[in-house]
Amino acid sequence: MEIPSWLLSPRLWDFLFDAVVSTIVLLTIVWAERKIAARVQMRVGPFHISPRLGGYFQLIADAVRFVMQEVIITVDSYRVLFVALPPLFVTLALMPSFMVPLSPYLALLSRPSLHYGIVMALAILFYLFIIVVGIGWAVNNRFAYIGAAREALIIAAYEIPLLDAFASMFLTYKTIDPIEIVAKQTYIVGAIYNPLAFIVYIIGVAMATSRFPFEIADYEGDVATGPYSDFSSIFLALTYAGGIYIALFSYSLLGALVFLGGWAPITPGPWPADVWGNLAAAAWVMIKTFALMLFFVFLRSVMPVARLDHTLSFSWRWLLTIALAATAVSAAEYFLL
Amino acid sequence: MAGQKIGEAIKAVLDVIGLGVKYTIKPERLTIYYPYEVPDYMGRVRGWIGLWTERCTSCMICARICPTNAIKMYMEKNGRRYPGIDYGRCIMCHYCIDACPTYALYPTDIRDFAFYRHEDMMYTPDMMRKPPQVPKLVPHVVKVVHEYSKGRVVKVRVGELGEHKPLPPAPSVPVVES
Repeated sequence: MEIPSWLLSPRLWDFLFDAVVSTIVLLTIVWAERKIAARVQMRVGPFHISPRLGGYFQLIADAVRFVMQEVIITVDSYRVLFVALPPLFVTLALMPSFMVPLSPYLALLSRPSLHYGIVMALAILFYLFIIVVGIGWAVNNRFAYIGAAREALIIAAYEIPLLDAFASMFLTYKTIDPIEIVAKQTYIVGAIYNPLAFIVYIIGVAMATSRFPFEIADYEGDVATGPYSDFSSIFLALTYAGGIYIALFSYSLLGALVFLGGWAPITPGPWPADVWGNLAAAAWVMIKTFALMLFFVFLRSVMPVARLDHTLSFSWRWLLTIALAATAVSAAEYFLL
Repeated sequence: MAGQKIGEAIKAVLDVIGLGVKYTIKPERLTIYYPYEVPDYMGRVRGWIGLWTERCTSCMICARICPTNAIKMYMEKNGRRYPGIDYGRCIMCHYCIDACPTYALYPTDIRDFAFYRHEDMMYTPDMMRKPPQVPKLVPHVVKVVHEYSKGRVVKVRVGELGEHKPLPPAPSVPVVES
């Protein structure tokens, strides 16, 4: 029996792999976040929804609850953006993970545009948090305004160092092509090439995706869930309760490719001939992504919440300095290596 | 961050991450799975409050001392008033039992009672003669023990949950005739 050629298309397989695995990873990571926080705080965590699996299906129960809940659109809100921005948030959060390759032959984009994959992914991810400010405006509530203003201040504080960290790595590798970047990390991964840039990446992503200790814009103790304060039901699931994790997934995928070597030790053959090698490479990338996400959600259990002014002064004073030092290191490597 | 040396800040962050990893790998849990395990109250339980109407003098001290106004005096057929407790308001402080001059109100250790409706929580004097039916729990009494020498917290099983103690016999105080 002849297998039709479209069934072996690398685009189809990349899309399916990314969609399915990202869903599984997201389900697992939210469960892991709750379980880790519970273990550190001497609790048990989710348990009763599936006792034999340690409460793994708790998130599905939560999702059903969110979807079945009544959709409330407040009277004062700007209705069009109130409804349109949450789906846009999820779309923009998930889109970057489709722009980068998962193995040398498994990519949604083809060659000339794939060259700019990481740059496009970063551009989309930096647009993402303009949407958060837009959400704060559309909700039209004083707490949402305050949360959106805090988010805007944090955006300004983390974007430059984070972009600088990625730019340093591009300088080290002398290329922006994701496949060549991974090829250069065969023996030494990027985090060892330039540890300063890796540190800036970790702190910057923690700020970008509201991980502790930088969960400032939507910290319940300060302003009631910040920009999302009037959201409920499916809107909350698409932004605050789910969308942020998808953004974390995209950031972690970029980090796994640029800093942790992507599929580095595995060198699969050309696509249709070596299907399993390519899928193994993609799975290895996803394992690295999962490990990074696990670290980010682990921070919730041990970190306090920093104050906004402390965060801003830390970011502009120290994070930017470290990012510039990382650039200097990369510039030295550019001429030496 | 402010006024802190950079080295100290970095060390603190690394320390707390190490502590978190330690607890993630080897957790110490305090949670008591309540319907399946019962915490050890060491006998100091203030539970449901019973009433011997034949000892009650209708002095209303219990109703006046109640800090949450849970006690209401109900008129009975014999023309006297007896206390009835609203368990939606009762905080189980047992001040009424302490204040009762004739020991008409008595304490029990019945604690695991629950209600479906608010009306069920209103106990009238005739209901207070009969203890509420408590569902049979899985009989594990556990206790959380801090082992300070080892720096650990462990949960130990103390024993089986026994039956509720039988109601105390009527104390031998003279019945006040009114």
